[in-house]
Amino acid sequence: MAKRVMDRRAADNKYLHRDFHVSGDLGIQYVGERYGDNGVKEYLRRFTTSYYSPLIADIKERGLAALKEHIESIYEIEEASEVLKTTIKDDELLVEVSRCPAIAYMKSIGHTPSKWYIEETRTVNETIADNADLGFELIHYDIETGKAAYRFFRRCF
Amino acid sequence: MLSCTEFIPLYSELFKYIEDKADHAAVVRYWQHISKEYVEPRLGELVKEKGIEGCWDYWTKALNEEAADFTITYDEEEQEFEIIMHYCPSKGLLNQLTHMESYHDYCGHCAHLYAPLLKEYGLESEEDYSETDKAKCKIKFYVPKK
Repeated sequence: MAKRVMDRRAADNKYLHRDFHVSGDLGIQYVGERYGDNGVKEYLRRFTTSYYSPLIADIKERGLAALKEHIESIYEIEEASEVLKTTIKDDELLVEVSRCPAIAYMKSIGHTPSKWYIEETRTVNETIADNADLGFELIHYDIETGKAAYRFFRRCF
Repeated sequence: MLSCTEFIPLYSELFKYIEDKADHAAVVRYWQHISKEYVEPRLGELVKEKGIEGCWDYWTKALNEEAADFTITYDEEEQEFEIIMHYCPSKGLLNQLTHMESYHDYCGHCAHLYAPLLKEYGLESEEDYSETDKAKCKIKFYVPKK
């Protein structure tokens, strides 16, 4: 009778477990269903403020270039750089996404993203901007494909 | 969009959020919810179809994609499946994120996601979570001998 053994070291594989997009969405949905829209925003604000504190410090030091590099790195990790266009002009970073690779993956395995999935873009970026003393505007977002445009800009009070 | 590689800290913050809103029991209810909503349609269906061999199919895919440091053994004759996690990429990542505090019972989710579900499919388990602070654990599922 067969005995199978698989022995792997971390360096043997690329870290890219796309099912985590589904797991992340299920978590957001759970919060939304129990704690409402503001609960989702509160949860993601806490996550962003905590997890992205080094990024926020980098943006404060180096400006929009640091944010541009961060966003580009996300799409490189997701092997989807071709869907992203970033433009820095006149103290503004414009981000254009032709389709969201996470939404495409989730749909490909039969998972429809929850109505709160947009907050991974809106609330997360809004919070990064706010903590880095920048303005943020979500110009448009297609919930079916994740096609989106948003901008970060120097804000004045 | 967050990258799927950023899920682990998002997950850890979710547990913290739920506990902050309620208590640890509410976090456990979330894990039970995920076991039903996410794990059962994947691992549960494989075990339903292929028996304990379904564990091999599920974890060899997941742990390779998660770039884990592991040894998995499936003994068809003994009907045993074992994972020795030499270095869990999730807990390992959280240990490295020194700028944020991870959930105090992060590794607790594994005990609630898998063993109770697989018991419904007739598999017993032995788990060792005594070294999770070092991102190490062991879990064995087996068909009980009659």
